[in-house]
Amino acid sequence: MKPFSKKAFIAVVIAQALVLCFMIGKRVFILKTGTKVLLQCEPVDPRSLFSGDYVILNYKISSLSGDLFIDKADSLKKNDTVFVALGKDKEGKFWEAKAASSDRDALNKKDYPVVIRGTVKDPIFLGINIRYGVESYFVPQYEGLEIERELSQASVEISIAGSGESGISRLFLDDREVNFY
Amino acid sequence: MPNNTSFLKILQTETKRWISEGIISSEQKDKILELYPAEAAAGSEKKKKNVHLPAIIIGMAAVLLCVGIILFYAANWKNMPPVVKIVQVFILLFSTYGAAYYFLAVNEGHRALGRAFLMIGMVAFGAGITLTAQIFHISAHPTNGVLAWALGVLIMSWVARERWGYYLAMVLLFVWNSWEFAQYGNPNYIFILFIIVLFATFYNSKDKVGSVFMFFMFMLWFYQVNGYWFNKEIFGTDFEVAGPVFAFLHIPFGVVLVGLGMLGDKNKTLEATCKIMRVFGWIFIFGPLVGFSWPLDLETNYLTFNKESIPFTIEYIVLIAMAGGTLILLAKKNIKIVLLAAITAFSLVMLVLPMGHKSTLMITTHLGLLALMFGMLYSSYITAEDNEIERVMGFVFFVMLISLKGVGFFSMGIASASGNFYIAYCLGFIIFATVCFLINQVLGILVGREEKEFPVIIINAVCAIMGFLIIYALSFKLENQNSVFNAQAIVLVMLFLFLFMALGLYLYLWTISPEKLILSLSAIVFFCSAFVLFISGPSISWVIYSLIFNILLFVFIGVLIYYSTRVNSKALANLAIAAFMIHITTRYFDVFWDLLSGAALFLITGALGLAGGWLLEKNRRKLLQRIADSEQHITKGSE
Repeated sequence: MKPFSKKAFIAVVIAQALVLCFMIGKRVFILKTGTKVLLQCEPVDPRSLFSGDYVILNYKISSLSGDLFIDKADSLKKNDTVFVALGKDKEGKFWEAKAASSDRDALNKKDYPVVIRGTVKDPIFLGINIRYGVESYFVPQYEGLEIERELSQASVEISIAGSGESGISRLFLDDREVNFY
Repeated sequence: MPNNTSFLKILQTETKRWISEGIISSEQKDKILELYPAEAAAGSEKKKKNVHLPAIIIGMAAVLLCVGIILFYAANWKNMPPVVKIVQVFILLFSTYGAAYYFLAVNEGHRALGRAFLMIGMVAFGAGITLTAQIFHISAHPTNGVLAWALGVLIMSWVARERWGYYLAMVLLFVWNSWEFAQYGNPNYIFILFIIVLFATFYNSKDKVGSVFMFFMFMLWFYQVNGYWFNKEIFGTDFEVAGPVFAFLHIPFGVVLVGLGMLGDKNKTLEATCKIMRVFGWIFIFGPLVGFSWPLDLETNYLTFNKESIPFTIEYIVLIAMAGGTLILLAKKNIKIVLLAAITAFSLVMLVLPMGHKSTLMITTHLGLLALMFGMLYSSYITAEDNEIERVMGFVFFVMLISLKGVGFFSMGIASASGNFYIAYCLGFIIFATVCFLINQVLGILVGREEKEFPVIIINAVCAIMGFLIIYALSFKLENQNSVFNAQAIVLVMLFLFLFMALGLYLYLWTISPEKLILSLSAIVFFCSAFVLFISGPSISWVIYSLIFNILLFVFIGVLIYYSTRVNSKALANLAIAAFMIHITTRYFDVFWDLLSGAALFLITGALGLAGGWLLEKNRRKLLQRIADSEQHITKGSE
């Protein structure tokens, strides 16, 4: 067998390390510089083979009425990208959906400064189900069920970047932050 | 004497072929191979030396370590801060790749260890990706993580020329593709690029197993993309219109697979893949024809060039063009393409005909099937190339065709308007089976002219068994039978088509066949069946049917027994006698079930059975002895 190129080998190792650094760096950037919003949620516990135990988080903004959409909601199909403008609710604690559109530019920054990006999961008649990429919270093994048992009201603080991309920064149970480390 | 284990391998393969062509006997083959004991011993020694225990242990240890790493991070240990976990992964990544580099490039004496560390390094990269997702709770489009992992593994495997890395990349890409399609409904057109890249790497590294896997991955992608095209919302396709088109396009696709298989099967790396392609190809040609050769009510007459099947019509045309291209490549290599060219032309005809129209569908598919059976078997015996696959599959398809038609016609007869066309369907099968039988005789004669032996017994036996079963099924009480002339037009069209085909074949065979006996005997059954088919109707009493079919059954069995003595076939004689027993037993119970009480029936039956069985066994032995004596007489005569 021909000997392999040593330089190429080293280059690939470095590239793989850089990929990991990029993933970590991008997430840290969103969490550090993004707008913090608090969302109310309801969890269910499954298990991921590679990533371990995690809690599925479902938010109030996960299902939107078609009326909230500035443009036509009935033309939406599965996997379409949508943008949801968030604002604080009446109590001023949690954030809720104020408007939505499949076009980012339709939600002007002046009226809607905080916009989260999501993907249509299910465009059903009574509500449009949307996934934002913040629906999983990874917990140590066997801790998921325990959290669910203790739970009366969960809320999640997410960080939203200017592009609409978001990440989970903290999980609260009855206003207490959940921390495993 | 040559001292060469590869020479012995070639000799072992070639001597098998010489035996099948009648050049040498099996005893002569053993004598030839006994001349090279040293090569045989060296070959087995080499095989023993290839088992390397330390490498196996290292490989297993690597697998265990990989699984352990995945499970360790999946457990998401409490009290281990994320920063610690991230640092651990980078340490693991650099240390394993570093060790791999050392053992593969610096100190090359422990290659197995180096490869093991390389695999662990690749898994560590994947663990890093999943760990990052876990720490930051990333769940948006998780398939991207699998893709990144797969690409990292693929590139590293290519650089390090690591075969097991390619397999890992293949598994990861398969997971990525399946997940994308299942969760996001993504057809993943781009997956074909990865298949091509992986195939090229397996081919370059002479990996036969990898090449085979790539074929199956390609087939998965093919059905995935086509499945996506059935999406009515996106493509406007209607399954009832597009479904048959998708089935028919398998015919030119089959030609492409068979052709490419023939082109590549001399290549050692691609040999297994090409054989599999040929098998799939022939199944794709045969399958749609037999699947649609039934009186189906399709949505519309014109299935192709229909707005509800556009993507599949385009695909059909592309595949015909590809089939044409494949034929050109085959012709350039002087490989005979008559059969494949005929199939390609046939698929082109199917493209433009109104295949949704019942008569067109039935006539086209049936003629196509019979031509295919003849073509496959004839070309597999006549051409010089290695056509073992076509030969075996030809017989398998022919047997399947006759059996399926028998079961199908019988079922349709029962289902037809409360069984009113039961006789029509069953006798219709007899006529179809006669055509198959006659095609088989033609093959026997034409192949025999090339001084090769064609085993006519196979299809003859299937026709005989199915024929017996159908006539047996007809020998029961039949009432309220409708005349065949009241059936749908297509039924009459098909009946007359096969009748004329059978008559034409009989005339042809009568002029060319030296063996008139079997023709005459089969003609008795054929003409009797045709006669009953056309006279049957509501005016005929069930008693008449019963008499006719029971006599026909006796005639059929008698024909089989007589023929078994003429061809000295013990198997056929035993089969005929078994058929006779089944018939007699059935008729006995038919007649006496109502006449005698339960106990009397069984007592008398038992006594009769003992006596009858003894008589029959005595006569069977006499018959078999006569056959055996006749065989001995022939053997002594030839000596």
